[in-house]
Amino acid sequence: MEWSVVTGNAGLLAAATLNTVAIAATTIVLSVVLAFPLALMRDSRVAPLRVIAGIYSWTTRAMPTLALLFLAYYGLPELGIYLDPVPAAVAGLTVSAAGYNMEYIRAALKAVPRGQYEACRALGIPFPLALRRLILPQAMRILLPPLSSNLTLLLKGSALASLVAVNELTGQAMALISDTYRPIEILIVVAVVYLALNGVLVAVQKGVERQFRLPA
Amino acid sequence: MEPAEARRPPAILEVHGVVKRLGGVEVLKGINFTVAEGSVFAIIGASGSGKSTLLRCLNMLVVPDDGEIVWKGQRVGWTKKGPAWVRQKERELLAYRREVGMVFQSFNLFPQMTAMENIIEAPVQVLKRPRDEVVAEARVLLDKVRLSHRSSAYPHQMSGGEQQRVAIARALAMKPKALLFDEVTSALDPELKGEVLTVMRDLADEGLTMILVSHEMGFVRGVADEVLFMHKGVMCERGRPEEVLRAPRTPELQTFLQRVVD
Amino acid sequence: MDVIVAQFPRFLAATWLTIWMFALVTVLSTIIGAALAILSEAAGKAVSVPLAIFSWVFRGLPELVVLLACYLALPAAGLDLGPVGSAILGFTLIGIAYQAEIFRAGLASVDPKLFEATRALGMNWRLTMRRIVFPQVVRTVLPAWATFSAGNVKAFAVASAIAVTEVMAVTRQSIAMSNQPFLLILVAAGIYAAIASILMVLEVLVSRRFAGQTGANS
Repeated sequence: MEWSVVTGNAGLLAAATLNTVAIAATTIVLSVVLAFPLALMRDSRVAPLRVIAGIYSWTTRAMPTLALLFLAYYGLPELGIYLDPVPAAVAGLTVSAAGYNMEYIRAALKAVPRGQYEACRALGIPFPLALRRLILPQAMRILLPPLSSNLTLLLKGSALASLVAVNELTGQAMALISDTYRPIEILIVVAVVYLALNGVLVAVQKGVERQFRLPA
Repeated sequence: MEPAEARRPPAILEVHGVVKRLGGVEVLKGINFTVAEGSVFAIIGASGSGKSTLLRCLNMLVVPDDGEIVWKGQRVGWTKKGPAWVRQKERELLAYRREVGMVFQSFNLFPQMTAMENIIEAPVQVLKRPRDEVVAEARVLLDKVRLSHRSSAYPHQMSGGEQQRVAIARALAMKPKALLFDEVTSALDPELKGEVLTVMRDLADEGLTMILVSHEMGFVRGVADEVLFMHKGVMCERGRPEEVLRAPRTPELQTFLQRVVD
Repeated sequence: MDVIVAQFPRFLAATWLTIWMFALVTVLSTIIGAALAILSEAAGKAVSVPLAIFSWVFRGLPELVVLLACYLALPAAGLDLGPVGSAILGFTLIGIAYQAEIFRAGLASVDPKLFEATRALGMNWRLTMRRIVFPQVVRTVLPAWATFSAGNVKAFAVASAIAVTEVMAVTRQSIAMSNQPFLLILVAAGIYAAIASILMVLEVLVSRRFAGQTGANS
């Protein structure tokens, strides 16, 4: 083992790790934000909205995430939209993850007992307010486990950004490997970093889940 | 029409020819009645008679397919635009629902909130009233439903009877002009029904307009001013409870009363 | 459209490659994952702890990193499997990690009282497993298994990054040739979706078969 390839390039790897964190974090936030209106549209009383959300859900879940990244990076220029590698990667990952997130959100909203919705209506609480203050906090307990595991997948998915020329952790690793011919050391370090990030994400999830637990 | 009609104060709620179809079945086949302000109106009937659907029609949780509901002289759920009547959106119904509250069989308290938080939620968030003021009122309400000591308890920490009394306090916090009670004691153990019925009796004595669906014949006989017996979506009998319940005219009501010996 | 026609043979070959790699990986990882789950149930901590760590690692790493390790790091350690071999190894390792978890959850859902009951009936362990536990586990595991496997088809697109000429690799080549990225990527996505939907149909057929057994049991 020749660990100097790692220590000597620690700065590059650290910068790349920050890129990974930034891409994953941005995607996590955006994909949840995008998924909420889609989840509501999916059960809307307005048929066209329902259909649009249904098509979105089906296609994005059927497509490989990599295909969505390629669409954003190689495909959008065909329409005259030029995105830099990082925005393209974030767009592709977000669109892909939102397709799953919306289904989890929808299922969680449906799992809140009908009586809760009725109670809100009977009290004269407007739907947006009821959703935010009363329904969502209950749905969160059901939503968090599947949403969390999907967000863990997103962290892993950020590695795909390397294939559209983003210099995140995996991309940097590939570059260093072709420079140094020391794949073993570099990939071990990269693997450890991913697992550590994963651990952080799981810890954050546990903390959030505790927030929504009912007192005994 | 009963002779009592003449002596009564004017109706606050009128129901004219209400029809509701669910899944191709007509569950309400033209219902008519009026409720006087400050009176207690009880709807009885076997399960499947349409009584719960009828109650839900009264605050538009269920929208009738035909007929009209009139609240204080105004048609509920419809607005007149020129010559035509236009269905109101859910948003427009909310103001009406704040005047006509509802208490449910399954309590439907918000599980993530304490008794106090459940009660103040709508007045603070919807009516935008100052929190301190609402909390002070909520304390009075909790006292009224005999739960002053439970204000910081969560629903799952309370008995069914306690939860239901909090639910009543929550509905009262909106200062409704009338309250709908949908089989509010049906989900409770026998020993817990009494505490809820006592609270309801107090409310009736205070002159709150109450419309209730109930199986508690003792309560209906003692508290209701008028009773409506429903059978398969049709109004079968209607009148003062001491008359209707003592001397049922239809075989349906006779059978029903025999079955719910109380 | 011309590019699709011109590249049709390549797409066909790539589709075939994707299908057989996927089939092999699914079979291998299901068998090994299930075996490890059963073993960890039977042998206790000596197996279950290392399995849990293995499973955590391979579920926590990006597929691309695992593939790069198989494709670049293994040859450096003296084992060169080539692109296709590396992809198969990488996806099988990842698959085992998931399948072992899926089967462990399935086994855990079997009521322990069942084991007592079969012991009381004098059934030995193998018979109990084969006749009682297995059918029940299949029924509980199937939805998760199918969801994972169908979703996993899409992950194979990543193999294009280690020079496997599967569907996404041909797509990229074709994009470079023709400059019609939208059409080509949608065609590729369609191919993955088609393979995934075959699996979903299979799941429905199998679950219907086992649903019949539930009816007989209850």
